[in-house]
Amino acid sequence: MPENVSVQSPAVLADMGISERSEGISATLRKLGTLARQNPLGTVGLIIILVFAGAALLAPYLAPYSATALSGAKNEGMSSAHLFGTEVVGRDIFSRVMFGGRISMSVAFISVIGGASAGMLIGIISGYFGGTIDSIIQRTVDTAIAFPALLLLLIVTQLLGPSFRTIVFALTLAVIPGVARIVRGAVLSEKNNQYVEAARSTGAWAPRILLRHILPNVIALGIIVMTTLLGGIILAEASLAFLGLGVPNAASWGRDVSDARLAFPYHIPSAIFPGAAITLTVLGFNILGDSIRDIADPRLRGSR
Amino acid sequence: MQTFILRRLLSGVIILFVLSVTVFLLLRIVPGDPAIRRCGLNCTRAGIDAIHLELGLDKPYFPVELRRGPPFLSFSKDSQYGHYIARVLKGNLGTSELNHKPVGEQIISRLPVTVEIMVITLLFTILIGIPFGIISATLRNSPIDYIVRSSSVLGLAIPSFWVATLVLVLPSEFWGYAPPIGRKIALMDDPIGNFKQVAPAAAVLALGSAAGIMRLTRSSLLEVMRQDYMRTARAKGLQERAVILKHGLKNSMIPVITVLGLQVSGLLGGAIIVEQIFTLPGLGDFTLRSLVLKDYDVVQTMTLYAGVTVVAMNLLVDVSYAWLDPRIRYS
Repeated sequence: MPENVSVQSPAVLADMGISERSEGISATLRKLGTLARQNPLGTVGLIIILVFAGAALLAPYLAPYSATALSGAKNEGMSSAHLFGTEVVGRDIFSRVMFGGRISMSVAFISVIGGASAGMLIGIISGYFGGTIDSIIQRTVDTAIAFPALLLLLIVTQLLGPSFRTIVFALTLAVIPGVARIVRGAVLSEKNNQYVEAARSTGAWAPRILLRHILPNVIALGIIVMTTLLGGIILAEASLAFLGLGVPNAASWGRDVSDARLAFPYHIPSAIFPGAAITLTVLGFNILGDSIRDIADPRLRGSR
Repeated sequence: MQTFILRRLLSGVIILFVLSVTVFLLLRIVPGDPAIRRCGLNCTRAGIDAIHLELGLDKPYFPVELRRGPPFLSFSKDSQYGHYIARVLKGNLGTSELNHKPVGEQIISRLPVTVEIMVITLLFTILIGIPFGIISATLRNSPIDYIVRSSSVLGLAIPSFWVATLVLVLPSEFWGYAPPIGRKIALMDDPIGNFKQVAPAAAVLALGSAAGIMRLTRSSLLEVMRQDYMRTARAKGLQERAVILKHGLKNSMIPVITVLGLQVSGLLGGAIIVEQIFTLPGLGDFTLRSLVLKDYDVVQTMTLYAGVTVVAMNLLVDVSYAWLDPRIRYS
């Protein structure tokens, strides 16, 4: 480390790629601790998500049985061998709940990140350039937002044939318009700021202004919107799976709820646990999203 | 106002036109040829060609199409879309492959079920969502407020298909009761029996939408209660009840009406789910079954039907703004 570095301010040090490591980690942890104490609900949401994400990620190692193994008799009750019992063909429900999160969460994360990125790009273009481009994009967005989302998802997945890729594609399409609308609004208020004008007066061309000056200022908003969308996308994926248009041959919470109707007489654990897993995961994402929005915009606190 | 409505109707027609072109194209560019299924086993190339000829699938898609080489545009009077739209405008929506009956006839017989589900759902949503939202906002941070807020957070997270499944499974296990499923009882024949069939489906759907409306009514009313005119209304000696209901509520309804309008479009999707679970023969069930068959005529018609509903709802919502807030004028 060069000698004169220590006289620099922390911000400059950070820019130079040097951080005060030894203090950095404990300070960050302390900040996180305070943040968690100030937002107990958000912390609960985060913990729920971490538990389900961990269970999904580690399912191949931790689950007592494989998702497809016929490990018991049909419709067994809850026991130590089968914590949640077994379902209509004798597969272990606890293991299926663990494995079921894999599809739900990966589909949700990929399509929300993809859709939000595309939506942000479209929103930035629409808001920054205005005029005809803006009106064409906005009218399209109007129509897309108003059109029944589930019907759109059903049409796209059924026509392209349900598979991991087509479901991600359909959900990505569903995410784009809402994000584009919100980001456009932010860009409209952002582009009249003096620093944008200053950049323009130096002769910077549009892509540079968009990427260097506007994007960093709307990206935080984009991340907040992404968190609030995740819960809804998991619900949408589960609904598709419930209707039989989910990822074929994969353990899925939505399809397991649907299968629970096949048991005769009805078997309560098969109906309860997969649905409870969906509800808890969506709940986790929703309250975490609310919390993150409150942190970003304290004026909204307690209004929801 | 009249010019505004006319302009919106015109833009609605444009939206429906774009929607019909998009779906028309989507149905034709995806893999899967309806002729192959019609042709059945032992199908030959010549057999498929004959069916293409019979269904008109050998013709160009649109009256105007782009070409790779000059002159870059090609025109034809005899295109698939041209025939389709001419037929639809004459009121012929085609034939369903499900039972080889006219699509229009099927929609008319199935429409009442879906409309009933949606109307009752909206009634439940409004009757639960708005009053509890008001109570929650006026008694902010009271135990009731916390209960309302937690139940709305929960209501937004619970999948409607799970609740519907539990409504089927739990009562049958514990009380030996099953909601009446199966053939639909007509409203006119037996209003009570009919309500018993539709109400569980509507109640399940209303759970999510009422939660959303409850939350929104609360936050919107809280926002309004911060306004100066609310203080003025209190200062001139109005009772709190009158302040909230006369000055607060009406002003807080604009976002609520907007979301209610959007929920109608969501309910079109929700109807597909509850009609499956409670086996109600409505439009949602028809749509899903026809989609699985890749039935061109029905899927096209159902998207147009959804489009018409949405355009009409949006217009209704916009017109209601002017009634709720006289400052909003359309010219």
